[in-house]
Amino acid sequence: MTSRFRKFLGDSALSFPTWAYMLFFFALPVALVMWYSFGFKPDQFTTHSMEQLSLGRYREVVSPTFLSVFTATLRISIVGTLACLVIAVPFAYWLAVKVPPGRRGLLLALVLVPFWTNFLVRTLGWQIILSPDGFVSEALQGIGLLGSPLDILYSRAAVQIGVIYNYLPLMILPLFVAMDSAGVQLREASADLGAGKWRTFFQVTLPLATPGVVSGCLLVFIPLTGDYITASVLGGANGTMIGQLVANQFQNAQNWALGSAMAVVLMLFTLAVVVVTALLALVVKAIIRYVGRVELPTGQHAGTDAGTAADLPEGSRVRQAEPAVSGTTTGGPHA
Amino acid sequence: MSATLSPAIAGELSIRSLHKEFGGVAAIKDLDLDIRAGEFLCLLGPSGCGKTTLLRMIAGFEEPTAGVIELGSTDLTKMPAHKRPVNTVFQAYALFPHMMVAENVAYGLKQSRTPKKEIGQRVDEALTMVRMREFADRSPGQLSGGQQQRVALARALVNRPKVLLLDEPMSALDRKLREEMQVELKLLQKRLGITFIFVTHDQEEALAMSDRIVVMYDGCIQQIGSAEEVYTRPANSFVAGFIGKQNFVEAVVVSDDGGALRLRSVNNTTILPEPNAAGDPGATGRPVPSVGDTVRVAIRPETLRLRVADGVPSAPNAVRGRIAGVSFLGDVVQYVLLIGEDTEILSRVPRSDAVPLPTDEDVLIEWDGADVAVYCDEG
Repeated sequence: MTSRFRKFLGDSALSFPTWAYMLFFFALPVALVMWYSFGFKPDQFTTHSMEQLSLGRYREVVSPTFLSVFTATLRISIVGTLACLVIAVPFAYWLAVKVPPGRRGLLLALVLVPFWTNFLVRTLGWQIILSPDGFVSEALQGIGLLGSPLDILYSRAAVQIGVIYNYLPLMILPLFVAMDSAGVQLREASADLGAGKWRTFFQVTLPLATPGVVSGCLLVFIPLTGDYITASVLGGANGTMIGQLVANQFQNAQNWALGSAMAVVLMLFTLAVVVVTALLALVVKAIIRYVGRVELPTGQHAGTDAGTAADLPEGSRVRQAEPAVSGTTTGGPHA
Repeated sequence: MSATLSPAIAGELSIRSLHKEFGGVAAIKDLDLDIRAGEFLCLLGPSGCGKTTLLRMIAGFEEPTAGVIELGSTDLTKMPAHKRPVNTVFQAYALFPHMMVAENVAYGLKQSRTPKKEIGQRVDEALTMVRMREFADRSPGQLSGGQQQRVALARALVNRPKVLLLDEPMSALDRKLREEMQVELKLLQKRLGITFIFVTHDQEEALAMSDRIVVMYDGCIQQIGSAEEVYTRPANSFVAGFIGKQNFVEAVVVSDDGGALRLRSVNNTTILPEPNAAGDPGATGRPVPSVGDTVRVAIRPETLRLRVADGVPSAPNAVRGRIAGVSFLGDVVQYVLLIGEDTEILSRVPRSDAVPLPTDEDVLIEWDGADVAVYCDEG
């Protein structure tokens, strides 16, 4: 890297590979998609034309079919994200708090084992598990829980199960890191102050793991909403998720304009869900803070003591605290 | 947690045959200790001596392998940490970073479902007591080390524990602040009458604050006593060497005249300890050396007297030496003395208006038999 180049970029030179990559392979394509969404498909052999700009594609998008798939997608991704969270929280807690550090490496590796296999292949694996003549079906019939073969493959339920499986590690990892970084000391301090395991979890461990919860939810929710492999493999051809519809427009129908409009709507809705959830979280946080606040009496001594204490010599400062202590002693019977 | 601040029912701990092993290695070996109600007790020892493990067992963070811990008539041994009427000030303070100072202090009171109004009052009092009232709405991250420590202290004391455990709480503070806090903590403890158990590896800190010091080494108690006792009458050569500066010399017992030993050190100095003096083996029940035994002789640097070499020895214990180095330490002047070719000993004399003796000066080193301690152990 020449010095002139570095002078031009400044300290951001270090981030150059990242932002260059993001600019050329993310920002520009997304901008193109947005641009195409205002175009139209002029004839059977052309994917798009920008000769006449309109919002016509968006009007097409707001069709009943699209909207029903859209709500289904939203439901699958919200339920999927929440399910991942509910499954991952106890696991991450167990891994970060209960498991001796020496064995964590192995368990984390096991969490990541599914990633060693191709996404499509391990989703296909679920076809075998969920098929009517698969071992799950036969086992359930064997113990009498099912009267007829399992009928779940190529349904929304199958997609739901598949996405939870596919995205669970993405929830576990940030949660584990967050819970691990809170450290054993704070949990001990909490126990020392009289909080049992559950109270410590809800008042210390979980609040401190909030950044992990947020990043885990984002890591799961965003790609899950756009997922189309799981939906195609386990949901069948009728299209249970929006990603399938988008892919269909680009690949089969060769209607890039309509596909682009669908993609833009998908992005905007994902963004909206994230923003609304974030706002809700902030409100909840504010409420918790308000409920848990400590109101100190605004007596005169409290205000003046603070101001004058710093100017007094050591001995008198210590003595000045005495009225408060005698107050503490008389407060004893309340305890 | 229904303790009140009345000294009458402050914590009296009794520890019986306490034993703790980590993976087969003993950290605490069959330890017995009685801690009096309302005393300031220091657990002092080098790192790895088991003092922190002992404290953590009292707090309930470690389960003893064997033995009993009782608070008054309550058996704490199997009680989970959150039910024990003891509180801890942690080494790194362990303040909750997601809570304001006031919420940190209120945490324990909330767990015991104290009425909201009382929480406010007690948090106010506790913060005022440690002079952190004006920081109530800050987050711990915005405070200095000393301020965080005060908050940690308030957070523990606000619960009115019977016993307060302090795990090297001052190790992160700079010297001046630490000395201020020592005075303050001692005054606070006197006033509240709560039993304080203070873990430290810093002997000055222990000497400055404690009613009693428990010197620990290798999972065992080496000596229990007041600051003066452990300093002037160490029970063994470990304590003699660990507390304060010490000169150790190896010597052989030449004769024993009814308890009056005559020792000869490796460099042929004759040492005459006072018969049955405080430091004498017989007085403290330590093994008495017999003629021919090799012993360790301990003489404190401040008990040595230096005179210019042309004088006549005025004490039975005297040896000639040379000043190899002089350091001015403020309130004392420290001399490194060379006896013979390779025996180095330290001498400390209070700073006076007299000009310190120069380097390379030949001196006569004198001491009293009463200041000589003799140990048969290996140290």
